[in-house]
Amino acid sequence: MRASILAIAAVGAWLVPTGILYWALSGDHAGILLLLLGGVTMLGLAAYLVGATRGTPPGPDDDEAAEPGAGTVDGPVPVLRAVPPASAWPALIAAGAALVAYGLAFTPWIWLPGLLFLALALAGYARETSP
Amino acid sequence: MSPAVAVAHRPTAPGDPGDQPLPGIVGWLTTTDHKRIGILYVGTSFAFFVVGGLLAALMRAELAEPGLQFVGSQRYNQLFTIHGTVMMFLFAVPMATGLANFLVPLHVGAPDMAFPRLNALSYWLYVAGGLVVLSGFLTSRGAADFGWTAYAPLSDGTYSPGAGGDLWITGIALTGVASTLTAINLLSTVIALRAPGMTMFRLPIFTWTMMVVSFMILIAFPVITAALFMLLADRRLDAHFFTPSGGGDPILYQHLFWFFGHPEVYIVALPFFGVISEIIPVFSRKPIFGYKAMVIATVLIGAYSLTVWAHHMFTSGAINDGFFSGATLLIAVPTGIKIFSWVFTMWGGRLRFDTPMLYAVGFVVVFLIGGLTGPMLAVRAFDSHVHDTYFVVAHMHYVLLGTAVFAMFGALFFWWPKLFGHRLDEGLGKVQFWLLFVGSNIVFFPQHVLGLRGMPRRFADYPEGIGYETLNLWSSLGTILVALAVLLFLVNIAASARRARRGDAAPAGDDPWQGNTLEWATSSPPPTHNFHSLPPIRSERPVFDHRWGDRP
Amino acid sequence: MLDPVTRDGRYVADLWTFLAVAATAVAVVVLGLLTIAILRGRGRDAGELPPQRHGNLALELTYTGGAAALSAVIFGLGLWFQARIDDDPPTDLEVSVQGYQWGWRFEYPGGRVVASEPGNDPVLVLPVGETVTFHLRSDDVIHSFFVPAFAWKQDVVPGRPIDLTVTPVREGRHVAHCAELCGIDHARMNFAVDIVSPEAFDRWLATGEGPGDGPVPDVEEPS
Repeated sequence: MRASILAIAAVGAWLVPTGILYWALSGDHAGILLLLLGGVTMLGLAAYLVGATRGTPPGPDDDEAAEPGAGTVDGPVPVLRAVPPASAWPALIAAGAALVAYGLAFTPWIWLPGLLFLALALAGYARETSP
Repeated sequence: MSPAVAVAHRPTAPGDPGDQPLPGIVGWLTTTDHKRIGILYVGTSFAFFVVGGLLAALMRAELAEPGLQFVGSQRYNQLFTIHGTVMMFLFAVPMATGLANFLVPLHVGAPDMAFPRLNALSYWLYVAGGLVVLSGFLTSRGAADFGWTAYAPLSDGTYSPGAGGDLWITGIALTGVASTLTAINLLSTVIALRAPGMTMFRLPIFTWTMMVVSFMILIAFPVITAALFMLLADRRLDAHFFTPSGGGDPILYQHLFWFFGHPEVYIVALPFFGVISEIIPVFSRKPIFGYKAMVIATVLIGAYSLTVWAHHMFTSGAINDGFFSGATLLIAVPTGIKIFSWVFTMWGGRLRFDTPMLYAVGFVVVFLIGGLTGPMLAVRAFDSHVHDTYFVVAHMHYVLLGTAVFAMFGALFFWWPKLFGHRLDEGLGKVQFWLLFVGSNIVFFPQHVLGLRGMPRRFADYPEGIGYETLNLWSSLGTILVALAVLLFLVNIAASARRARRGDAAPAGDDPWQGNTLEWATSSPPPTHNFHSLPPIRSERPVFDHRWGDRP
Repeated sequence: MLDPVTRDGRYVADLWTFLAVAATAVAVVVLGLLTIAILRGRGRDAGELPPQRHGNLALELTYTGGAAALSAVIFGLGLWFQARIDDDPPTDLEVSVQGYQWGWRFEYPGGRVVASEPGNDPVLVLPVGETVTFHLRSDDVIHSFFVPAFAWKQDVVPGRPIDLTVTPVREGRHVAHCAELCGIDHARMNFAVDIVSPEAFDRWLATGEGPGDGPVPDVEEPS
C-alpha cells in the first residue's frame, strides 16, 4: 500500500518542481499549468490515500507472511458488492454516447434525443445497484 | 485493505450457483466478467489492427513508384490520417487494455476488477468511438484527412470543413473517456484487491506497468479531450482558440496535443514492456534481473514522459529547446535499465525458444533499433533536419512495432491457452515470426535513409530523380511479407480452434509453459471468479515457488 | 551520408556522425550481449533450474551510470553545436518567403519575385558564400521551409513570422520541400534552390536571366 502511494506521490513530486522550472524557463502558459495541475492531482491522490488508510491496520494483502484465505469470512459465495454478473446498461450507455457523438457532427435532431437516451441509460445503470 | 474487501478473497468452490454469463450473443453484450471483456478488447483491437494494416498497405502500394497510381492526393491524406488514428487509438491502447483486463485481476489474485460494470462500459464506449471515427469514410467529404495529430489551422473549419473531421473529434473523445474509466478501474483493483501476501513489490511487472499507465492516462487524457473540444468549437462555433485571425495561436494546439501525445506513446509502450518482463523470465527459468530497478524504471518512465512533449515541436521555434532536449534524454536512462535487465535475465538462463520467446527476442532487437534513434531526435540541431521526414516514421514504427506488434504477438501466443484453453500452433507461429521480423525490417529500415535524404512525411507522391525511388520500392515490397505474417496468424487462430474443437489436441492445462505468476495457478480458462484456491504468495513468482519449493 | 551545403549544415552532419557512431556502438554491445546470452543458454533446458540470480548491484549501477553518462554527453554536444549554429555571421541578403496553399513566393530586395506556378516549381536563387536571412511567413496554415541540402527546416506558423539564417558554402542545385502537412497538395509544394556565384546572382537579380532558368520537374499530375 505504501509503495503504491509512494509511486503516485513520486510522479507528483517530479511534476511540480518540473513545472516550476518550466515556468522559469518558458512563457508557455499551457505547459506550465498542465505540469503543475498534473503534479497537484497526483499529490492530491496520494494524500487522499494516506488519509483513507490512516488508522486502519495493514490488510493481509500488505502482509508478507499472510496465508491464502487470510482475512476472509466463511459463508456462501461472496460477491464484491451487490453487482449483477451481467448488465445491459453499459452497452446502452455507449449507444447513447455514440448517438451524441455522431449527432454533434450533424444536427441537434440526432444528438438531443441521443442525450436523452444517454441520460436514461445512466439512470438505469445507477439504479441497478442502489439498495 | 479493509475487511469488506477482504471478503472477496474467499475462494469459490466448483459448482457454485449463479454468476454464470448469459448464453450466446446476449451473454457477450451484457458481460461484466473481466476475462470476457478482455477477450472482447483483444478481438476488437486486432480487427482494427487489420484495418489499420490494410490502410498502410494501400499507402505503401501508392508510394512504391513515383506518380499517383491508385489513389488521389486527398484520399491518400485520409489513408494516413485514419491509419495513424486506428493504430494509436483503436488498436494499440485497446490491445494493451485487453491484456490488462484479462490479466491484472488474475495477477493480483482477485475475482474481478474493482468495478466490473464500469469495465464493460469502457469497452462499449471504445467500440462506439471507433465506429464513429470510421463512419467518417461514409460522409460526402470523406474521413478526416489532416493527420492523426490534427494540427490547427489545417484541421479547423476553414481548411478542413466536413463531418469527417467532426466525427473524428467526437469519436476519439469517446475512446478517451473509455480509457480514463479503465485507468480508474485498474488503479482501484491494484490498490484495493490484492490477495493476501501480494504486497506491491511482489506484483508482476506487467501489473506495475498498468498501474503507472493508469496515472499517465489520468493526467494526459483529459488534456486531449479538452483540446479536441476546443478544436470542435473552432470548427463549428466560430471560436478562435487556435486561429491567429481571431487572436488564437496554432502553437497552443500543439502544446495541448503533445502534452497528451507523448505520454500516449508510453501508454502504448509500457504495457508491452510489461509483457516482455513476463515472458522472458518464464522462458529463461530465471527471475527478472533487478525487479526493484524495473519497478523504479517504470515509474520514472511514466513521470519523465509527462515532461518532454515539446520535443515534437523543435522546428516551430516557439519552445525552450534545452529544457525539452534534456528532459527527453533523461528517459534514455530508465529505458536502458529495462533493456539491460531483459538481456541479463536471459544471461545464464536455460532458454526455451517457443514462439512467445521468439517474439520477446524479436522485440528486444526491433525496439533497440527504434530506441537508439530516439536520443538522436532529442537533439534539436539534428531534429531540425529529420523532423517530419521518413526518419521519424522509421523511428516511431520501430518502437511501436517492437512493442505493439512483436510484444503483442508474444503475449497472444503466451496467454492464448489461458484465454481459450488451447494453444496456438507453434510451427505456424515460428514461420510467422520470421516473416514478420524480416518483413518489418525491409519495410522500415530503408526509411531511415529516406528521411536523411530529405523525403518528408505525409507525401502522397514524390519527385523522380532525387534518390527516393529505390528505397520506397524496397519499403513497399517488405509489406508483402508483413501482410503474409498477419494472414498466417489468422490462419493459425482458425486452425488451432478447429483442432481444439475436434479434440485433436490435448487441452492446454493450467500451466502449459511452467509460468511464474498467479494466472497459471488456475484452470485454462479460469472459472468465473478466477480461483478455486491460491498458493501462498511469498515472492513475485508464486507459481514458480509452489512448483519448485524453497529456492534461493 | 549527409553532405550539406551550408555552414550550419556542416555542424549537423558532424553531429549526425557522432550520434550514428554512438548508436552503433551501443547496438553492438547490447546485441552482442543478447547473442552471447542466447548462444550460451539455448538447448540447455532439461527441466532443471539455472542459478536464480535476482540482480547484481554493481552491474546494474554500471549500466545505469553508462546510460546516464552517454545521455549527458549527447545533451552537452547538442548544446555545443546549437550555440555554433545560432552564431550567424551578419546578414548580406534578405529574402521574404511566403508559404501558402500550395506554393511558395520568394521576394528579393529590389522587388524581384519568384513564385510557384501550375506545373512549374519556383527556383530560389542564392549567392554562394553570402549569409542570407529568410523572413518566413504564412497566412493560411502551417507549412515548413525545408531544404534537405541545408540539413535544416523551419516551420512557418500563421501568426508567427520567423527568420531563418543560412550561409551556403557550395554551388549547386537542390530540391526542396514543404515539410508540414498543409492539405491536399502538400506533396506538390516542392521548389528548387540554386546556389550560384555572387556575380551570376547579381546578374540574375538585375535581369532575371541565368540561373533559375528552366523548370524544376514537378510532381506528376494524377493520370
